[in-house]
Amino acid sequence: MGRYIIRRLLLFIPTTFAALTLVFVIFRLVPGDPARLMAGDAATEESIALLRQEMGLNDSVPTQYLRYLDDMMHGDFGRSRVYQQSVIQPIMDRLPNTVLLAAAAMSIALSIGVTVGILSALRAHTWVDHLSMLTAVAGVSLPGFWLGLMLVMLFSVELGWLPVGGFNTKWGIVLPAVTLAANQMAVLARMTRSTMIGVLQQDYIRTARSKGLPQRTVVTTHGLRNAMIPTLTVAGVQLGYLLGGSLVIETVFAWPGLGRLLMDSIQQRDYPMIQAIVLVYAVLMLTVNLVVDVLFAVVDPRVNYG
Amino acid sequence: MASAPVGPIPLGQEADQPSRRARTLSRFLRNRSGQLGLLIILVFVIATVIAVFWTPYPVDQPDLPNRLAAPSLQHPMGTDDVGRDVLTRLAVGARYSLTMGVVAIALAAAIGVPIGLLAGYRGGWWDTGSMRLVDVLMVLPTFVLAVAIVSVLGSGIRSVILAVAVTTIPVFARLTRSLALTIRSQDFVAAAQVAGASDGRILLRHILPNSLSPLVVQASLGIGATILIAAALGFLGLGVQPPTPEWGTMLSRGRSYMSTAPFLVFFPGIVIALLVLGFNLLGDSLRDALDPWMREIE
Repeated sequence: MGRYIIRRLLLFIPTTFAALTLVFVIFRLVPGDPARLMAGDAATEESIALLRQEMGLNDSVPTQYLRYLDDMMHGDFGRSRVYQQSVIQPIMDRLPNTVLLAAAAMSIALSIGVTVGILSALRAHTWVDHLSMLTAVAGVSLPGFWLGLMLVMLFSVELGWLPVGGFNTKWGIVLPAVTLAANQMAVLARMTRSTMIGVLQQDYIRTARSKGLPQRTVVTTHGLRNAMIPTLTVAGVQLGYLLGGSLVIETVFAWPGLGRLLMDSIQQRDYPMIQAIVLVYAVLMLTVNLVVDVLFAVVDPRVNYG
Repeated sequence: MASAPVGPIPLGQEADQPSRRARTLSRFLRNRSGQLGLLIILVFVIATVIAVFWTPYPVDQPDLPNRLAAPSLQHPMGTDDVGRDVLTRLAVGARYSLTMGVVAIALAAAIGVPIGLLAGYRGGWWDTGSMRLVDVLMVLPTFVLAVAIVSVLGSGIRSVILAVAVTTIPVFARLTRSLALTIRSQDFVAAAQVAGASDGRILLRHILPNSLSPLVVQASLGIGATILIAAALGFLGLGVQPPTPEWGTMLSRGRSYMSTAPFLVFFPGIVIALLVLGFNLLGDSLRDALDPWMREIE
């Protein structure tokens, strides 16, 4: 196991390198001229030429790539054209808010999704099961931004129970977190149901039952613990979707996270900022995957990682 | 060689049984949620075709006296901020969502499937190399990658299609690879190899046809996901630009009138959700119908 964890940790290096390269390719090898893109339609030829010089776009692509990697290694992630400072500070200001929102949403999705999945599995092919699974398919199909707006209409405007969002209000996180969770909740419920149904047919469940253990014990200690492994794997993968989704949800609820900063930067053509934020999302995702994998190696005694 | 009986012979099948495909089809047709999905998609396609030839109101003609009219018999889904009929605009908008969904997935499959076929069948350095390359596309959350690509390509229907296609290539490449890996160890592939069939022939006549059904499932689910992503990009102002009545764009514009005319947000969202639901139901039930066969081949 120790060797597996070390190998997994080392794998972080090439994947981070891959992320850096992908971001470079997206932002430098675009059709057309990055300088023109950045300067906007109203820019003069002189200012574009100056910008091209400044960005080092006159060098060959390999030279640019090496310089880019060199900058990244030295922690030079670029200078925001809007904030007139290094991109690091604005990003660090927003990052915790996005992590908070994502963590809240994931907790909601896991607790409700897994519960619904278990209930469905225990009552498989009854109306409870059919109803929850139909709700789950619907949940996968709903546009998050629409769901968010509808929840605001219902709970804030009509009923007045919750604030419209708003980062600084006490319960302000509830609506954005629930909205962001909806999709994953549905995915996790479906996943838990199908693995749980499979687990409940296993011999060791029959053994546990014939020992006279109460249903609750059989379901939680024998069933759930085994069914959780695939579910948690999916939850790890889903975190990527959740991070992507947070981009839209932050915009809907005016949540001051990375997603909002990204959208604002796109509007202001602040490409150094856009590039840095995209990179942060990649690192977030790689870190989550790493943590999930290592946790599995520690938690799951059955898995022999060699 | 043309007469050699080395076609994709269904596994473990008796001569007088209905074919595997027929059994799968009948399983699918008996599935109620699959029927519902198909029906939803059909309704949308019919509405799209009708809207090409006829709409109850002009798509883009302002009718200011009638602006923000609540749903009524004349305007079943109300009118927008300049008095245009919402139902008309949603019907016209259907073609953009359907096009983006279908074209982006077709493009992703056209690139991802050959990569996966070769990777799975050939193995070796081609497998390692192409899969590592595909993995690179997966270091970013899908939607962030799509937003990044659109932010450099500029908004518009082409950028959206390209962005979604790029993000979906890994899904098709990896699925096809795993299918090719299982199928290449089947007896009928060995038979074809012994009979002297070329690699190209084996890939196109034996491995690809036998991979098709799971790929269709993936395509159906992928079209649903694409329609959601395209609508989200539209909502963020990065997708198809107004005055084109793209659903996400309409919803985003309707947002400014949410307190007085909530139907401007409600109906576009319902329409998006319904069409996506249609593709998800179709994909799910196709997968259920295929499931016994998938177990057979594994």
